[in-house]
Amino acid sequence: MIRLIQNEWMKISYRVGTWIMVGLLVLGMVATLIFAVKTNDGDQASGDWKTQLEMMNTENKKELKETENGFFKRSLEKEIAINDYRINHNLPPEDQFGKNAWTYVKINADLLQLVGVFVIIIAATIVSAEYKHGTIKLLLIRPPSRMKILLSKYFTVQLYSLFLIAVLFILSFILGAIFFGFNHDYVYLSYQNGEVIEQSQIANMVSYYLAHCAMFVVLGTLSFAISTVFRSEALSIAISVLAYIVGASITSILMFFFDWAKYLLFANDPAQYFADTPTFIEGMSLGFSLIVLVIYWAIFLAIALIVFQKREVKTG
Amino acid sequence: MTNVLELHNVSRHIRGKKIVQDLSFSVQAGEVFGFLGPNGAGKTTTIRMMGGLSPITSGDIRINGHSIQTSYQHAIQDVGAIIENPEMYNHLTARQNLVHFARMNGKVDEARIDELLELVSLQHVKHKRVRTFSLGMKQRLGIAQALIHRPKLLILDEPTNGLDPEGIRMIRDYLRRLAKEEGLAVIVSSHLMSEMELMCDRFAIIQTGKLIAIEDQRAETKQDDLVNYRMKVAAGELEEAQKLIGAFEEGVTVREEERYLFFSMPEQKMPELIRHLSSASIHLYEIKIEKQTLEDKFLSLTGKKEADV
Repeated sequence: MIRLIQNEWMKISYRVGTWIMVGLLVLGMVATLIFAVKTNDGDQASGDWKTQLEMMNTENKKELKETENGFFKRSLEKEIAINDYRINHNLPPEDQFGKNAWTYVKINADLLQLVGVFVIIIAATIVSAEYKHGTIKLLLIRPPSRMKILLSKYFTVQLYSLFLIAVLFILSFILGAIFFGFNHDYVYLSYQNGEVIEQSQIANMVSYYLAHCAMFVVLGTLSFAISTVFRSEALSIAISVLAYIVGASITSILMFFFDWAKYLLFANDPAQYFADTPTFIEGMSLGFSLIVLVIYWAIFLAIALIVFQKREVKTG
Repeated sequence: MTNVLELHNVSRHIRGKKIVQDLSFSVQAGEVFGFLGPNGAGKTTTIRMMGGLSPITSGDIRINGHSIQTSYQHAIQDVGAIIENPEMYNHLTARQNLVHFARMNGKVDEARIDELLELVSLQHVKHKRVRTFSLGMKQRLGIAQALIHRPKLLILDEPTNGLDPEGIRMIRDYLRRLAKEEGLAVIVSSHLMSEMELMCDRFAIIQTGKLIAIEDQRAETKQDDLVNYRMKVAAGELEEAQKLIGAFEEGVTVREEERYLFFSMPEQKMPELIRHLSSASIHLYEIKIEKQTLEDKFLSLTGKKEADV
């Protein structure tokens, strides 16, 4: 199995496209870096942040009484709790500081979207390219079972996405540290089940990144399954990328009207639990979403494996 | 002689259509076996079944005694193949391609890779990408790829397709050498009869999915078998020679066509006949054995079958 993964890695690492993707990612980081440096106006500390937060909270509490919308209510509750905590424990909010290495890492989490698209493309091509070039026959008249061959391809896709994420994370951190330095005074607060929790910045960022990756792991698997079943790169890239881009907004519209929408794939993006706004539907938790995602993931992978096992090998 | 490949009543039906019907034959170690048939006769389907790429509707294929259906991994270990075109990874080098396929069969043996590159004369371009290769070079790399794990059976589907005469000759020499020196069983499919005649020891002819003949090229002609001859004599002596031959052996018919004489005669009688004609002062210019070519045989066999239908 390790030899098969070595093979797959060799095949993608000698493709120009693979390195163009890494190049584009680095280019994206350079762009965000330039933007971040230009907009960084240094130390913002103003002595009266406590009075500002208190004013915000009285405003929030007034609105909380008036509003009927559950979503709006919950986002107000969260803001009030966090602001109170900051005032009571003397922890200034983020806008009191200039940028630091971690804020830059957080900005670059947006580039994970790019990583997602790249992973979908690799997932779509790794199987169908063998059909396109006819090499699938030489691959399948060898002792390793079809199951092993397909799994080795799948692991290689995930290895590649891990590689891209690591490049993004580590390089962002290094660039951020060089250009903005560290800031040890800022404390990140998260709000879970009515409680405010202090978190270290690295733990926060790692979980933030992991949460943003979950979606494209599942979509990469979808793309992999489509390309295995239909042997068409174009089809699987189109469907998966489209789903990746518009799936979330369509689902959020559905979620306003239907309760069952919470079982849809895109309603369960774990990233929402790490965002500043609360979830759309009450009663959804990270655990629930992870279970839903794992079910989708398992279905996609199972379809790919079953179809590939049964398939009569034809090319062209 | 051991049978490396055995087909037992192999059939393949696709949606009620009989693509291959009740095919049985075997290929032995050390021989080059031709698998002939017109386009669409079911050659490629049969070859796909040998490699486990297409399911078998009924019957069985055994490689070194292992069924391709029930003990696939044992069976396929002894098979090296090129099916249809020699498709390689174009963006990898020749050497990387061989490493790739070697890994699939277990440990990579560097010495074996070099040995094979040497055998197919690609040593000098081993670090070049396959994209830059000619078809002949790809075909040779395909053979190296198929031999990497020292298989006992080599399956080649149309190996000379699209090659120039020099390339064809090279492939032919490799295959004959592999069969003779390494005791490989080689099965080669083709629709080019003249090519197969030079390459194969035995061959099977199939048509519309059915086996219609197995011919052995090594079979020796027996002493009293009739052999076809073509003879050229001086222009003015045609008639006289014709008479003399007819009188020499009873029941022989001598045909004259474009100043040549054609007749059948047991081989052992020929020296006597030549002496006889010479002593009668016939000017003999040429005597040649007229062999029935594989192509003639093939056409007569397939033509006859078609007439039957």
